[in-house]
Amino acid sequence: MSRNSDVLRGMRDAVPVGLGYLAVSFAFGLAAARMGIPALSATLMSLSNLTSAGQFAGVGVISAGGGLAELALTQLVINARYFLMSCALSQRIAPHAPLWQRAVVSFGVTDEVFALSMAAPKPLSPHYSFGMMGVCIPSWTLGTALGATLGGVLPAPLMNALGIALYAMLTAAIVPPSRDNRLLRFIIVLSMAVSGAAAVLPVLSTIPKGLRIVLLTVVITGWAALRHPLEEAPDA
Amino acid sequence: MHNIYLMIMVMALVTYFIRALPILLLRRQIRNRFINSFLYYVPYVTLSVMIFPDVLTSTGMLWSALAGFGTMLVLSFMKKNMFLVALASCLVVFLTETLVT
Repeated sequence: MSRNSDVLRGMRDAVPVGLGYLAVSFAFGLAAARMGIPALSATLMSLSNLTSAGQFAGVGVISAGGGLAELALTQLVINARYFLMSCALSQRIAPHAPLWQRAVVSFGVTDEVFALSMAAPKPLSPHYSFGMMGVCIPSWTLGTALGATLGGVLPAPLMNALGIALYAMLTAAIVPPSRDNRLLRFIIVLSMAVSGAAAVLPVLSTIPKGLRIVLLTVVITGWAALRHPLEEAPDA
Repeated sequence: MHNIYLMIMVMALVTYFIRALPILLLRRQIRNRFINSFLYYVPYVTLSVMIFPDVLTSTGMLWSALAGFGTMLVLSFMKKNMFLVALASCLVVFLTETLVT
């Protein structure tokens, strides 16, 4: 497979994600502006961070006058899930890929890019990731700039409708393989049920969400790996 | 407020290190069966945990979110592509919100 076609394939596959990012980052830009963050700063934050939950929390800390340590700790907790995703990705990337390519791919690990990467043929071509990043980074940054400057020009029902787009994409990434795999179906339902319960149960619901995601992932995934280890070759 | 550019840089660095450490350090193929199984299940579990229950508060009201959530589950189970699933879910949310209010 040639590099150029990998890049193009990545760009094409990332178009729906890019459109979703445009909508969500628009909402982020709007929220940041309302919290008194200058449009340029919000835009730079999107360009350099490329993460939704972390940025929403970040502007919260910044506008509340929080310190650097608090800010760093918030990011560590909220974005810790990327660590698990990157562990899974590390085994997917073509083994001969040079280190600099791995370093670039790392920057683009978002929930949606991760979902697409795991659905892509193995081994994962770094150029495929570059293609995805080529769509996702500009749309995430542009959406933020537009949201921060234009603000609330979109009617509320439209913004609300766009708000669900990213969840739809994540769902579309994990549900299809479960159609022909009862175990995966069970694991998805179980994970959602446990997560739903954890969000309302007394002690668990007080754990910050980023940490809760990591905790639940480690426990449920650990259980699944112990109970249902893969046969020899771990092929999806 | 501290220097905002410094704060943005700290956020970016912390986030990048979380993402980059495993990818840069775990370069060899892992042979351990448990770890391989664990990494295989990670996406399904972590994305499921992130979707639910947050999806229920991602719109303006619970009913539109439920309708959108149902739409995405059914369509992705039918193996429709990501773009169609996202578009249809947004449309259902929009219609529900305009009809209910």
